[in-house]
Amino acid sequence: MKKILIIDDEEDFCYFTKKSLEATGNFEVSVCNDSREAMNEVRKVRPDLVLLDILMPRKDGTAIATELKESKDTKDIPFVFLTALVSEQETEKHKNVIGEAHFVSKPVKLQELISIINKLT
Amino acid sequence: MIKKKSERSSQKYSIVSESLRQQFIMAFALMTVIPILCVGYFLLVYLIPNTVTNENIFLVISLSLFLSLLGFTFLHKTAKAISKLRKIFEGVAKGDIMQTCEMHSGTELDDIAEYVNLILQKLRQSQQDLKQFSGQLEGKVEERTAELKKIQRDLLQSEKLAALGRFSLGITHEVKNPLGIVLGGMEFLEIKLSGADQEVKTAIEKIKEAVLRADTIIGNLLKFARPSELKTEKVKLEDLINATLSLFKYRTSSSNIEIITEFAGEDICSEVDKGQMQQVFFNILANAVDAMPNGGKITIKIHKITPLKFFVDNPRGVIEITDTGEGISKDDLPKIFEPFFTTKRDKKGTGLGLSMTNMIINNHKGNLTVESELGKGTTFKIFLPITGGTDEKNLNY
Repeated sequence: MKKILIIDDEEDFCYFTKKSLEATGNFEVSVCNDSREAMNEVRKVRPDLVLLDILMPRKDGTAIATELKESKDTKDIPFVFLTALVSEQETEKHKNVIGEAHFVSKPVKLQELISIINKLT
Repeated sequence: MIKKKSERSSQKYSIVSESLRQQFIMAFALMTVIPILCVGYFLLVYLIPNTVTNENIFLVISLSLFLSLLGFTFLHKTAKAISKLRKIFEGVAKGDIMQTCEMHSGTELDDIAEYVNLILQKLRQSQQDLKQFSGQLEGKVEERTAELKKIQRDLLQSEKLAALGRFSLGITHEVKNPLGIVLGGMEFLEIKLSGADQEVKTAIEKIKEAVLRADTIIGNLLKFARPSELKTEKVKLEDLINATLSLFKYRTSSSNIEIITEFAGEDICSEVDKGQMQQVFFNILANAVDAMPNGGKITIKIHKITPLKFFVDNPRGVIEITDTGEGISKDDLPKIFEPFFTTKRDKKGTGLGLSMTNMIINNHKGNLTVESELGKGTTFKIFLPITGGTDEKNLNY
């Protein structure tokens, strides 16, 4: 069973994504709605993959991704940006900060999400 | 006003003519009286009284009459010639310059008539030149007016798009998040209600489709809000069309649609963003297919034109895509490049395809035109600046 951590301030989105992924029987999903607690949650859960929103009120996804990559204990954890702001300019802007990354646009079909998770884990 | 002026001129000529006539009568009278007086005086002073005979008096009178007749003939010819000239000038004053002045009076007035003819000929030539120039000027004014109108339309369109862009950027994030929740919720329900009857499953599927459609519209709005930068390279237009057609095959394979290509013999290259320009061709081809539900023919032509615009040689590559479909009505034709205008609501058209297509072409400093006739079909013409020579770079698709 793969452990997935969703870091997103949209509680309802997290709820349905968690429920749908768990319903497949292949994933164990944790949710973190407060981006300031994101790194603690990562260290606590030790997920196989992090689904990370970009635009969050207290700390944005790019900052969390940078910390993930720079911390020795989390640098190997793959992450996917799951965001409502996906355009070429947006992805380029974030790539300039954190290098190559995977981007998935909301709304996303469950099958697409599962396929990208499986590809990276 | 003009008529009055002309009448005044005519009166002036009449006065001149009247005065001339009076002078002629006076001259004629003098020419009759002076010889009689001269000859009479000569006879009276030198030959009186021996020569004052009936014969001599008859001779003097005959001589006088002969001289008068000679004078009268000369004056008559001159008067006739002047009258002719007067008529010519009257005609010219009224605007008739097509006449010619034929004169054989044997006087200097014949030379004047020749000069008059020469002036009339030059006037006719000037009038013709003026007419020609006026025609050219009208054409140029019309051409320039049409260009200015197009610039104005494009400006309005760009302003509209810019406003739409600013607005859409703001709402995109706010709309995509709830769409994510609805789609996630529907997928969750789909799993939970996997044992439910078909009616429920169909309802869920329809809601999911609607969410994805809304997402497509929002995605396109985002492209308007921040059109991606052009990554241009020199490409042979023919290769680009062929590459698009190979991707487009799946749209025509099941329908009765024939695609014909007519490319110019020479290589026509342009600096374009391959991805975006393929999107342009794809959109126009997709519209053509939608316009031919019962099948038909799509003809793609590529050629080069060299319009003489402001005397600057400005060659352009033209890609013409013609279908034999339903055509577009005259009312709809001016609106088809406007965002959200669609005639395909029933086919889930978003109304953004052609406005995006137009925007991409404008970003390439090109332009897009459309001609259409209901029941006969539609032709889209894409004009692109061309770059000389052929690049041997292969297109990797």
